[in-house]
Amino acid sequence: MSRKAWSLLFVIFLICVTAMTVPAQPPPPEGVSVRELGPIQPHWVFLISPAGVDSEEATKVEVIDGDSLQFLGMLTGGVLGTAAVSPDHRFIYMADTFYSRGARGVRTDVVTTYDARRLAPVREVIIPPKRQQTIPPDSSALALTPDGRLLLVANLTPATSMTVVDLGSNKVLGEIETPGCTGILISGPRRFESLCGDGTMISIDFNDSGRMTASQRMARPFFDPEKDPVFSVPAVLGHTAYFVSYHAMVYPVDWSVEPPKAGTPWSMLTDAQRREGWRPGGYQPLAGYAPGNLFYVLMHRGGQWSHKQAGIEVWVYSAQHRRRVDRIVLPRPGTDLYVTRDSDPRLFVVSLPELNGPPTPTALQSFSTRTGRYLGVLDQLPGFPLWMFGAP
Amino acid sequence: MDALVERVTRTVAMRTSRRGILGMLGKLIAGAMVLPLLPVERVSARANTAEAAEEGDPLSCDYWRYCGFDGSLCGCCGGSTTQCPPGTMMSPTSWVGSCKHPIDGKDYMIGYRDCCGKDQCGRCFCQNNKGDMPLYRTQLDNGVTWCFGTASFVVNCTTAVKLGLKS
Repeated sequence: MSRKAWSLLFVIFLICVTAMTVPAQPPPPEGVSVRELGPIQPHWVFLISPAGVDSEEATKVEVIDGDSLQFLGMLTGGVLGTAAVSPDHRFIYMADTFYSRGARGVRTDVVTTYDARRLAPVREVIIPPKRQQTIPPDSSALALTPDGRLLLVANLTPATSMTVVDLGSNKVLGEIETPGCTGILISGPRRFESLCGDGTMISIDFNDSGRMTASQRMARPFFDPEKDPVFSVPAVLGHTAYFVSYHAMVYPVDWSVEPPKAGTPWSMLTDAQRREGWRPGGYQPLAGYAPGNLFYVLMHRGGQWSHKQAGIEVWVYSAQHRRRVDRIVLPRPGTDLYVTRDSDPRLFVVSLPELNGPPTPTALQSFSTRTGRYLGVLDQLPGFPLWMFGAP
Repeated sequence: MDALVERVTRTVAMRTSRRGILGMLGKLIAGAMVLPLLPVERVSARANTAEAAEEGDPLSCDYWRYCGFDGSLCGCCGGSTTQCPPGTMMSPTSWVGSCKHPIDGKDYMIGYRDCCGKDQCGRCFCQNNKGDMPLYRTQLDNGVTWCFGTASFVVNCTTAVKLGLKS
């Protein structure tokens, strides 16, 4: 072997030894972190899923970007929790019930404040352990005053009352009793309305101390609960609340005055539509779009007592003209409906699994309200979302 | 009807509450916003009211007593139509529905009593909404968790106790 060859071998030997003795350079570290969200956008939507198929101990609040139809994150609460977003969009409030041993033990009811960007709890206040436990967890069970300073939580023992929480000092201020009447429908800076079992509505004024200062009840019912009950949560357009009934009547109530003043009821249906059996239905069958003076209703064809049946179409009504102005056929039947409040609004519809037919995942469908065009769907939503809301 | 019921039922699958209703019964119970307590003893006593023989499958959602049902059938969860599963607590309260007996054609009052204190059983979900009203008619709202008077509002399943002929 020539000298040159030996030199080459020596160099190769050196390289090998070096490779064995010098540790390999690790790849640059992959950044890990916990994601934070940006500011809440007009088409974000929040879904409350009070439970899964076989569990009811941990309510989920699912945060979804309705533009990209991406799942952004979630909150985990307790038994039949409810939630709302602060007017400044900085916080999400969730009212929950927990038991110290899961399904048993000491009951604690609590309002938790979450940072809206981190979806993480920042503080909590213990409230009296008598929160209303109902399905669906609708928006009349938890309400913020328009200035975002006070939070009202509905109680049911089954006597009815509202716990008032001061969000500034994070303290329970007091309790307002509403015997025979349920629901918190905010109608003024320090006023809410409740529906009563006899078909009347009561206005309740309260102060910064969380105490009732006045109440006025309608002299006469504005609907007949025996013959044609209304769904509990109205579409609010301006100062008028539009209630829709099991039999597709519209009951307007002007709540700019005390007590609230009932308007003239009108039917959503033509005679032909009535013969075809069209009715409103679902867990959240009604949504309003105040800028357009419109309301949206999930409609199905069914008989009496089909008021929780999923809708196959969304019918759009002009409150001013008292007539239907649009009709959107749903790719999948839906039980919850929500319309965003911006100038280019989206209509969202939640579809729950059906037993008959091929298995379908829980899904959120999106539509443009301007054109009625179907924009897409987000599948595999966790749990069974039964109520939807957006940021005020 | 079966299909419809099953469909709605599935959606309710999560846990939920229950309670059916009875339009006219509402009048009876109306002022009772305070507490629809039907003490256990009274219920069992009235359940013995004479009536026609039973008919149908108590493990099927179309069984006649379930016309206002909302929840898991206790018969599928270790209990029965009138019994809670072991270790649960039967609520002393309930909402009351009215269902027509298939044999004698009469209307009976049915108490839909929740069994509380264990997580949702998850089997045999059944939701029929005859007479179901919104929360402002609390006694007739099958979406309310009727565990008042027990130590937990977590619902395991629901029974359907015959209370007697509707007057």
